[in-house]
This record gives sequence, C-alpha cells and structure tokens, in this order.
Amino acid sequence: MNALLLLSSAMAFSLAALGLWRPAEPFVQRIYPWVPAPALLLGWISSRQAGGAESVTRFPDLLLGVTVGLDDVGRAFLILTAAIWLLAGLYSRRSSMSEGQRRLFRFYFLATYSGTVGLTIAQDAPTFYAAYALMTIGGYGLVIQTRTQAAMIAGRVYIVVGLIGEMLALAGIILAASGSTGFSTREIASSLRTSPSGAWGFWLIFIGFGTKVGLVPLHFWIPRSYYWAPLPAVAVFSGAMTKAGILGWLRFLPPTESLSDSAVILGAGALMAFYGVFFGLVQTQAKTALAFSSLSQMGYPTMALATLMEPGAALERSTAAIVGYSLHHGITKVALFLGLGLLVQSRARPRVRPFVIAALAFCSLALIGFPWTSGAYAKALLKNAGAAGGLWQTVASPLMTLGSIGTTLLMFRFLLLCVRGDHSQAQPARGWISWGLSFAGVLLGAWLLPLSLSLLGIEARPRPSSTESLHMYIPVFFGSLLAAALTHRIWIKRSHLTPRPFDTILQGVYKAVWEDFPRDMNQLTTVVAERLVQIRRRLGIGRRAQRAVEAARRLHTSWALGCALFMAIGALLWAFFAGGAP
Amino acid sequence: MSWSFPVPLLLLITSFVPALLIIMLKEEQKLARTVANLTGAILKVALVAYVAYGVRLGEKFEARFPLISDLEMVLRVDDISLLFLALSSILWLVTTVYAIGYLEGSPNRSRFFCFFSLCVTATMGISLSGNLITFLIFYEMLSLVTYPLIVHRGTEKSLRAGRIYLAYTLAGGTLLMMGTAWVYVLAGPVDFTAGGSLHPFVEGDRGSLVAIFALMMIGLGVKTALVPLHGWLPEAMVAPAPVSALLHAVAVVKAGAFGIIRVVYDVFGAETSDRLGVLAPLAALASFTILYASVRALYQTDLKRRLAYSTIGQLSYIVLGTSIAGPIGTLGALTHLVHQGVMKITLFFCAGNLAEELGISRVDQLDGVGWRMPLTMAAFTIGAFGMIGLPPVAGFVSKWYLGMGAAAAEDYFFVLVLILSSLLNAAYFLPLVHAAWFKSPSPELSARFEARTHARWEISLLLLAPTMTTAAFSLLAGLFAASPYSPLGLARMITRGAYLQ
Amino acid sequence: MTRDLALTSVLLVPFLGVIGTLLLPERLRRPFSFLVTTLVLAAVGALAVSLRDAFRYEISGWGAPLGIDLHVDGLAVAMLLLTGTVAGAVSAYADGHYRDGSSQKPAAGFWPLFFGLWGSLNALFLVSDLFTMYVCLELMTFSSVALITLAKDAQALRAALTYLMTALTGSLAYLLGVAILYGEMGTLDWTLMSPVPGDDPVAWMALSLMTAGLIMKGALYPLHFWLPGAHAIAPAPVSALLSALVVKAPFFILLRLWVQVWTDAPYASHVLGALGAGAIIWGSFQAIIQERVKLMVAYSTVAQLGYLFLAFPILETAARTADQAARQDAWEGVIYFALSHGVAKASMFLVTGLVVQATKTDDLRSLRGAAAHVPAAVLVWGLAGISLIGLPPSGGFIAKWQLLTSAIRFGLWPYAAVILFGGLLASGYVFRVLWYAFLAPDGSSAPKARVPAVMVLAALFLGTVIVLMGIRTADVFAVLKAGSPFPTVGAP
Repeated sequence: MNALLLLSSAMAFSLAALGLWRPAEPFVQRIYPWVPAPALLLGWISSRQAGGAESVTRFPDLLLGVTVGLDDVGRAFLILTAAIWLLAGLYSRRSSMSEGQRRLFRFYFLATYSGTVGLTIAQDAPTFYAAYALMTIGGYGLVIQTRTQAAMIAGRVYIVVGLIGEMLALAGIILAASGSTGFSTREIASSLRTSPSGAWGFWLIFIGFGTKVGLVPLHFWIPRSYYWAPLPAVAVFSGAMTKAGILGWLRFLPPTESLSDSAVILGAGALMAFYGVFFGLVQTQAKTALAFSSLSQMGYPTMALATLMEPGAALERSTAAIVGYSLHHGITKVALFLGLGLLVQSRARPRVRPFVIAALAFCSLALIGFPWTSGAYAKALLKNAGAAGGLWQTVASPLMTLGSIGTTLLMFRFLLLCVRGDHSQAQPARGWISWGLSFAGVLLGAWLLPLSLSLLGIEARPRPSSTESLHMYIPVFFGSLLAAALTHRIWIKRSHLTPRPFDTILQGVYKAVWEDFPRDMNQLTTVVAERLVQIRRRLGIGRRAQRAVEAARRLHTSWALGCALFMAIGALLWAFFAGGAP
Repeated sequence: MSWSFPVPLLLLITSFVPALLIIMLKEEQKLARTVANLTGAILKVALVAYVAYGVRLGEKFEARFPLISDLEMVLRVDDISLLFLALSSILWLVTTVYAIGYLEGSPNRSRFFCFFSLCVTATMGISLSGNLITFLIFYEMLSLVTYPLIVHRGTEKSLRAGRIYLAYTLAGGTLLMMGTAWVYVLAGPVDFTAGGSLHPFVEGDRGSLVAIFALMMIGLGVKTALVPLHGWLPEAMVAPAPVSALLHAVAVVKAGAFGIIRVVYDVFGAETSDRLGVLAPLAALASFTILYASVRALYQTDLKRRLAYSTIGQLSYIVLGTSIAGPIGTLGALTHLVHQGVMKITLFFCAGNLAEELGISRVDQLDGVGWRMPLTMAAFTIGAFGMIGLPPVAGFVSKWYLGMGAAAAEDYFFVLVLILSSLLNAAYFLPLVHAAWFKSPSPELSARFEARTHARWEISLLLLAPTMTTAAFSLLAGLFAASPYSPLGLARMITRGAYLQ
Repeated sequence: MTRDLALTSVLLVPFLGVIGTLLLPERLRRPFSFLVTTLVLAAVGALAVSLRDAFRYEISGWGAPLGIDLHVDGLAVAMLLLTGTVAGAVSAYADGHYRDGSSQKPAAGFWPLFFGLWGSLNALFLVSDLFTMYVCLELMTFSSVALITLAKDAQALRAALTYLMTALTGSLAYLLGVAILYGEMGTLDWTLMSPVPGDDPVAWMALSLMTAGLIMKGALYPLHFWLPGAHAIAPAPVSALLSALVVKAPFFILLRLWVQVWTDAPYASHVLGALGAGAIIWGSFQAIIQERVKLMVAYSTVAQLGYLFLAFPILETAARTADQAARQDAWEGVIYFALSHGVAKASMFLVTGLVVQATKTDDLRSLRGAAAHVPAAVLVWGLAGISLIGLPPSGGFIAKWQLLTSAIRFGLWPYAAVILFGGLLASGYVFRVLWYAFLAPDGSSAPKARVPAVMVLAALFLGTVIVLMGIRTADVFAVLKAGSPFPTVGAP
C-alpha cells in the first residue's frame, strides 16, 4: 500500500519529465490534472483499513534508507494535498495560458506535486528533506510562470528564502540526527529532547520550516510570490505548501513541555495573525489582500503548535486543533482563490456575478469562524486545545476575539476590493466544476470537518457544538461590520500605503552583493596591478640586478683572484686542522 | 587464486604500457592510439573490479620491491585504496573517450595521450601505495607528468600556468620529502597501518611530530589547494577540458586529499593526531578555505575559473571531514572524495562541451543555452544541484554525513560552515542554471547557436556520452547511497575497519 | 682467475687502444676503437659481477715498494662502472658526431685522447698509493686539456690554457702534500697509513695542501672559475666526459683520504661543507640566468659538485657515531649521488650537443618548439633534469633521500635545508629549458637539421640508465657494500 503511494509520487515526477517530450505532450496534457486522484483514493482506503493501523515499508538501498508509511497526521495531510492539487489541476487546465507557458506550468506543477505528496508519506528525515527540497525547487517554476521582470525578482526572493529555510532545517535535522540512533522522524524528534544540541536543533527546525509557513521576519516572499504566480499555483501554495511546513513541525518537533518554548511560539503565531491583518487592510488588490489573509490565518496553527509545547499538554487535542485548522484553511483558501478567477471571468456574464460574490462572501464568513461554518468548528478545536489552566487557556479568548475582529475587517476589505478593486493579476478561467467542488466543501464544512477528523482517527474531545459560541461572535461580527461600513470610504482613497520595508532591504542587499561589489573589486585589482608595474619600472630593478651579477661573474673568472682564493682556502684548512687538535 | 604476478603491479602496467606504446605512434596513427588507450582503460576497470571482488572475500593483494637499505616500495590494495582506485579507473575510461572526442584534429595528440596514461599510472600508484616512501615517489611523479598536459597547447598563457603549477607542486613535494625523511629517521620504515604507528613517539619528541605534521600538511596542502597554496589551480584552467576534468576533479587534487587522509589516519592515527592537537588548526584552515573559495567563486566571470574555485572549496570538505574526530566525519570525508570527483568531472565536461560547441567560456554567455544543448545543461544542472547538496544527487549524502560528524563531535561551528558554504554554492551555481533555462539568449548568442556541428545530437557523441554517464553516476551514487556497493557503502566498510579494529 | 685477467685488461686495454688508434690507418680506426671499447666494458662488467669483498692485487707479482698495488673495493668498482657507462655512451655518440660530415673537426685526434683519458681514470680508481694517483691525475689532465683544444678556435685555446694552469697548480700542491706525508708516514699506500695523528702541525700542512690542490682540480665553489669556460667551449662528447668523470677523480681521492685515512678532523670538514653549500647556491643561481644552454649545464655541474662536498661533514659526523648502519647509509648515499650525477650530467651534455647539432646555435631562444622537432632529446633532458632535481623515478632521488635522511639523523639541519633548496633551484634552470622546448614553434625559428640516429640512441641509453638507477637500486648497493669502510654486520 505504502509502496503504491511512493510509486504514485515517483510517477508524477516522471510524467512531468515526459510532458516536456514533444510527441507525448497531448497525452500528458489530457491526464495531468488527474494525477493526484490515485493518491487521494489510496489515502482514503488506508484510513478505512482496520482503523488505519500504522504500516511502514522500508527500501534500505534507496537514498539513505527510505521508509514510507502513513500515520493519522500524515494521512490527513495527504488527503488535503491530493484534494487541493486535484482541484487546482482541473482549474488550471481550463485557465487561459499560451502553449509554451502551459508546457512549463505542467512540468513544475507535477514536479511540486510529487515533492509535496512525497513529503506526507516520508517517515525518515532524508526522504522528507529530499521531497521538501523538490517541492521548493518546483515551486520556483510556478512563481515565475508569467516570465515578467517583476515575476523573476519574486522568483529570486522565493528561492533565496526557500533555500535559507531549507538549509536551516537541514542543519537542525543533522544536529538531531547525530545524537539519534536512526534517521526516522520519530527517533530524530526524541533525540532533539535528549541530545545536548537539542535546543539548537529545535529552533533551527522551527525557523527552517517556518519560512514555508510564513514566520514574520521570513514571510516577505509570500505576498510577492502569491501576487505574481497564476491563480491555481497560488491556490496550491497557500492551500498545500504552507501545510507542508506545518507537517515538518509536527514530524520533527517533540513536545518539549517547556513554558518558555510555547510562549515564544505563541508570540510568533500571534504576530503572524495580526501582521497579516494589518498589512492586508492596506492592499489595493483583492489577490494580495487574500495573500495577507492566508499569512494571518497561518498564525492560528502556529499558536496550536504552542499549545503542544505547554507542560502537561494534551497531545491529541493540540494535534486535532492543528490538523483541523489546516484542513479548514486549505479548502476555504482554495475556494477563495479559484473563486477570484471566476469573478474576473464572470465580468463577461453579469448574470452569474452576484452568485459568485455571494459564494465568496460565504467563504469569507467561514474564514472568520462564523457559527455553522467549518471555521467555527476549527476555532472551537483551537480554543480548548491547550492544557487545563495552562498559558493558552488564560490567553485564548481575548486573542481569538481580537483575531476574528481583525479577520472580519480584512475579509470585508477583500469583498470590497472584489466588487470595486482592479484584478490585473487574477487571470480569468472557466474552471466552474473544480470551483464548485471546493465551494461545496466549504459549504458543508461545518458537517464535513468533524466527520473527516473522526474518520481519520484524530479524536477530538466530544465535538464542540457549532452553536455553543454563537453568543460570543454575533455582537463582535456586527460591531466590526458596522465600523467597516462607516470608514470604508476613507480606506479606498488612502490605500496607496503598500508594505515594502523588507523588499527594499533585500533589493538593496542584492544589488550591493551582485553588482556593485564585483565591479569595485575588479577595478581595485587592475589599479593595484598597474601601480606595481610602474614601481618596478621606475626602480629599474631588473636592470640593476643584471649589472651586479655580471660584475660578480667577471670578477670570478679572473685568474689572479683564483690563485689568491686558493692560498686563502689552504690557510683556512690548516687553521681548522689546528683547531681540531685537542 | 594466487597469481604469481603481483596484481597491484599489473594495475600499474595496464596504464604504463599503453603510455610507452602511444609515444611510439606517429600523429596520424589515430586508430592504433585509440585502441591502445581504450584497451588499457577497459582492462584496468576490469582488474579493479576483480580486485574489489577479491578484497571483499578477504584476499590480500600486495607487492613489495626492495628500494634502499631497509626501505621497500610497497604496493598494496586495502579498503581506502580501493575507493580511490575505483574512482580514478572508471573516470579515466570516461575521460579518455572524452579526450579522444575533444582533441579531434589538434596537434601532438600522441604526446598528450602518453602523458595522460602516465598521469593515471601515477594516480594508481598513489592509491596503491602501502607506505610513505612509495606515496612520495608517485606523488612527485604525478606533478612531473601533469606538467606537459597543462602546457599541451604551447601558448604563452598555458606555459605561464605550467610554470606556476610547477613552482607550487615542486615546493610542496620538497616539503613532503622532508617530512617523509624525518618520519623515516624517527620511526624507521613505517607502513600504512589502520591505527597509525607514531603513537609511541607522542611523549618523547612531541615537537618534531608536530613539525612533521605541519611539513606534510603543507606538502599535501599544495595539491589539496588549501588557501594559501591554492594559487595554481585557477591558473591551470588554461589546460584543455579533458585535462582540467581529470586532473582538477580526480587525479591531482584528489591525490592531495587522499594523502591527507592517509597521513592523518594511517601514519599518525586519528587518536595520536587528536592528542597532538594538530587537527584543530587543520580544521580551521579547511573551513577558511571553504568560505574563501566560495566567496571568490561568486565573482569569477570565467566559467572554468568558477569551477576551479568551487573545487578548492569542495576539497576542503574532505580535509574538514578528516580533521573532525570520530568515525562519521571520516565516513563523510571518504564519500565526498568519490562524490565530489564524479560531480565535478561532470561540470568540467559540460564546460568543455560549451567551449567546444558554442565557444562559450564566460558565465554571462549562458543565457538560454539550456534549450540549445538540453542534455549537456541537464547534466550541468544535476552536477550543480549535487554541489549545493540537494538530494537525491550524491553531494547531499556526503554533506549529510559531514554535518553529522561535526555535530557528533560537538563542533557546531563546522555545521555552520557547512550550511553557509551550501548557501554560497547555491549563490554561485543557481544563477548559471537559472540563466541557462530561464533566460532567452541575446541576438549575438543566438547567432552562435545556429552553427550546429552535429545534425542529430547537440554535440559529437564522444563528448556527450561521457558527460551523461558521469551525470548518471552522480545521480545513482546519491539515489542508491545506502546500498553496500555504492561509494557510501565502501566508505562505511573502511571506517568500520579503521575505527573498530 | 678471471678476476685478475679482468683487472689487468681494465688497466691495459685502454692504453693499447691509444697506441692502436694512433698507428692504424683511417679505415681501420673506427672498428678498432669499437673493439677496444667493448673489451674494456666486458672487463669492467666481469669485475663488478665477480666482486665479493675488497682485495689487494700486486701487478706482475712485485711487492709494495717497487711494484704498483691495486686496492679493489666497492667504491672503486662503482666508479669504474660509472666511467664505463659514460665512456661507452660517449664513444657511440662521438662516432655519430664526428662521422657526420657537417662537423669540421677531424676524428683522428679524438680517439687516442679518449682512450688515454679512460685508461688514466681506470688506473686512478684502482691504485692504492698516492704517488701513482698523482701520475694518473696528471695523465688525465693532459688528455682532457688536449680534448678541449679539439674545438680548434681561439676561445677554446684560451679556456684550455686557463684549465691547464689551474690544474697544474692543483697537482703541484697535491704532490708537495704527498711528499710531506711520505716524510711523516714513511709509506705512500693509503690503505696501510695509520690514522693521521691530530696534533702534528706538519701533518696539517700536508693535509691542507693536498685538500686545497684537489679542491682546485675538482672545481669546488670559489675555485670553479675555470670550469664553465672549459666545459662550455669543448665539443659535446668532450664536455660530457669532463663534467661527468674528470671532476669526479679529485673528489674520489679526497673521499679516500678524508673518510678512510684521517678521521679526527671535526671542524675542517665543515669548511668543505660550507663551500659545498655555497657552490649549490651560486652555481644554480648562475645556471638559471644563463642565456646559452652549454654554459647553463656547465654551471649546473658546479652546483651539483657542491652536493658531493656536502658529504664530507655528513660522513665526518657519521664516523663519530656508533651506529654502523647509519654510517653505511651515508657512505652509500654519497657514492650513489656521484654515480647518478655522472650519468645525468653526461646525458644532459649529449642532449645539448644534439640540440646544437639540430639548430646550429646553443642560444636558449633557438630551442623554441624543440619538443616537436627532437622529442627524444627533450625527453632525455627531462629525465636528466629530474635526476638533478632529485625527483622520484631517477637515481638522483635515491641519493638525495640518503643524504637527506643522514643529514637529519645526525642533526645537520642547515645541510638538510640546502639539499632541499638546491633541488628547487635546480628545477629553476631545468624547466626554463623545457619552457622553450614546449613553446609552440612560430615561423621565425631556423629550419632544423636532421640528427644521426646513433647520437639519439646514446642519449636514450643514458636516459634509461638514469631511470633504472632510480628503480633497480638493490643491485648497485650490493656492489657498494663490498669492502665498504663501515662494514655493516649483515653485509653480504
């Protein structure tokens, strides 16, 4: 069963390569969206098998001993990834692209897919890292799909941050692996706790995978890449690839039972949530607003991770919260991004436009966590995730309320921009079916999410009823709606303030390192070389040495000196013989 | 099955005899020369396979010849020499095919192939050497025999490079000779033994041991291109592509690294050198070389010089691995010895192909080359990813074990160095790959792309096939790293031998 | 029995050759000289093979004071072997050199002088008393001076005269020293001489006179001024003989005296060592900056002789240590160096001759592209260069190794440093020639004349000897072990 999964991931990559070969192009073009289907099916079957017993198959000769298998968390992420790639694939087949662009998009789409699926089923560190690297490199192709100058720069930013994140994660894994007996993720996680370099390893892995999730100081590639990548790619980025970072956390970070760790991670999560909202509000494009919203939404699973680290944390509840929130966010974000494409498409057919806007509104509500939506259930899971009386329980309700207020304002901003804003980067597409499926997922989310969690064996405590938090959200929701209505006129006009602190710094550094420094260095070396030549010529070292040697040689060959030297050496020898006497 | 004729000597003869034959041939006898070359190469690979099989069964291959009073020339096959034997014999076969294709129609080919075979004889000798004096003899012969290869083109520049090369290597050779003589005086004729044989002298004459170690490291450091002594390597890039491929990816530079491994593990012994405290400065020098070479590589506009600086950096990984105490570091060093050879030779082949087919030698002429020479650039990409350390190419495996070795020995600084240098590798390799695949060629370049020497293939098969094989090797060595027959498997066998005896 | 026959034929046949080549008509001269050379070579070979231990032989049975006694030991036979090899190669080369119409010098004068030189050298290496050594020394000097004048131009005459004057001064000083020593010791036979008493001023006078004289004749550093002029002017085969063999004779005598006769002169040997080091540095430096190839090789001879004289301090300190094996190593290293330098220098001069023959001038720039035109010559030059620098596949490496290890063993660090640095300096001038040889030939270089095959073969023969000496070292050492002054316990 696991072998089939590894085969499907390898098949995806070989299909990608096949796609480049001209004669096989029509065949690959037809079937490429359906490539994720087998993985989805296999994931579902394995969950039905005998309560999803944990089976692991080993390929000792491959890489550094590949072990492949599915546990509950892995299965959930596998299904999520396969579903999202399926929807995005179907959608992209219908979106408008030139022939050359389509060929390259297909190659990178399948390459990144094979990396992401490989990631979910990998049970040992080298394979996980290999798949993760493949995903990052493949993602680069998706980002620079439009080939414009700005897209190239976005691609460069993406790959630089991606590589730095990868290298940090690798360093962490290596530090942990040196202490552990084997390379499987479980052994490495446990060795992080015991080995002396554990703290270093822990934080390196957290930051390394955090770059993919969007930890704030290393997040600046997200808005830029989402803005320039085509919509299906962005759906995949925000839906599946950020979850890969979270899976990395879950696989490698052990519950360290330390208050300080959980406090730091909690801070990072909160920072992400509010940073995303703050900068999202000033966006002029719906697509970037949505990008910042996914950045802020990723803050919540980070907070859930913090609950995992608390002393006396209930592991199942924290994992349930993380997985639940990821599933919810994945499906909702895909529906939103694909919906954006259809919104642009529906300009041509005004009759359908109100329905699309209504659907986007509902997805926004789901994102905010409005009751009767999957968002509410996910937020409820998150609320009761922490240890009884722990740090999270004390700070949960004020944080969550602030969060929902922020998200409400942001989503209201997004809807405004949908209606009025310009959509230059949202390419129109006719992927109605795939969007319909994803919207159905969101629509039935409130019922679908708890069902799938229990089916996957990720038992949460008796399901919090979606109505229970009704009393708390309604006033918050309407209050923020009112505030938004009053001030929206001001926002639209003052929206030129775009966040560019990090990009400019990076540009400056890049220009200095690549253009200015080499030019100055070359100038320096040529100047020094010329100066040396002048000095040598002025001193005439060459000529003077030559004359001296010539003089010495003539002196040496004169006969008279020869005899004198002969006498001198005879006397010298005599003296030394005498010196030798006792 | 004991042969009366010592097998190690046979290994030397399979490349020495072709050399003598080829020097006799006139320039026009192309076929005879190719036949002599290829039979020698294929015979050698077969012999190495036989020897590898024999060693696996525990058979001993050794040949001793009296040299001076009590000193003997010892040629012996043990695990470490097997690793280097396999590497150089396989890559010599591949490079011979490449050289035949590359030097089509150029003058003095008989002279070239004669010294080419002599160079491999010297490398074989180095890997087979059983004690320090034999190693020294073949080490110095290697410097001599490579000089005519570097100055093959006879231009002013190549002769200048030849002169610099000789100045460095001869000086290095002299220092190594001083060290070897001193060891002989101190400890008598000492063979390479697994745990080293200088431990009884640590208390007595600690000072002279440290001096000997320093002399030897400088002597060997010249060929391993440790920083102050690396000047000759970028200059020697003037040599034709097969020369820079075999010499600066496999034979010459690896001889230095292999020498350091032999000296640290089989002459001094890991524990003794640890007790002498000489490993820390060596590790520091290696780390500095890694970072310095990577930074210098960033600013090289000539492709081969950038590869040269990258070689300098990668070699110091091996030195770093050797100087980190503990078996895992050694494992990383030994695997990297092979992996770096295979990957770097691929990159040099690609550089050669680009220079030969399109006359490209500068880094900024690479725009859009990927679509004109897809297979070569695919091989280049595999090599580049390997250099950066991205799985599944071979480079990842050795970087993984080097990192683990450093972490196990609690030298976190070296883990940082490894990570930093991986990023620097990415910084000077990825722009090349990016330019090749993602940029469109300038009009002047696309005019150059039109001239096709071969209708069907992007370049003559004699040049393309070796590039593809070495790229495949680097991929397979990474993909099937854990199998016992991969370089990693072999290295694991060695470290198990070296440490647990 | 064969041993005695071989011994007498080694001594007498060359002198028969002198008479034969003088009297025989032009036609018969070449085959006759060919016959004599092979006979002498056969005799030397037989002697080397049959040598077990040092032995004493009175010519025609007369006793010591009247007759001449021969003392045959490892060192003597080794030098005989060296002379044989070099003389054999030079005779083959000279045959091609003089037969080829282009050289304007008649061959008549060469052969008698050649055999005279060969005979005197053989005798010098074998006799056991100092006075006969003096006679051989004079005979050798006269024949080599005459050989130099074969070049038949004014410069050659002036160089030959300078050489003659210095050689005579040296010989007279040596003779005076021998006379005083005879007064002191009462015997001339160095094997019977008891070690010279250290505190007798008259003995010191004798020793310093003899040493100074021999240094003058052996062209040690400050007194080397006559050598470059003489060796560079002489025709190639003659300069090969001069550099390889003639300068070795005085060194041979010094070696006999310093190592086997007077042993307690701890400080005086360091004078010789210091002068040797000076020779290495100054000789190599001069060789590097020369523009003419023959002058370069001549100065290289001056430099390499420095190595030989380094041996005296090393052997002196060796003599004072108890460790027999170490002293034997040092002794063998010194002799091996003399042998390998002889062969290397001879092959270098022969190759220079080849190049001069091909390009009509020995200016360095005319060598451009020689690697393409006369590859064998460049190959032999490379091999000889390797031996001079002391790189592996050559005899020079083994000798350098022996000297280096002995220097380190006896703690003589400055000499070890000079030995190593000398090698690097030597690579300076060797590879300077290779630089021009490998340079691609541009249009300007003159058309190259064809070179007779036998000359190339002679050079190649010496080249192979160099490499063989680097690999088959055991046989040569076996010869050296017989009758060595420091008999090691296990000696065969």
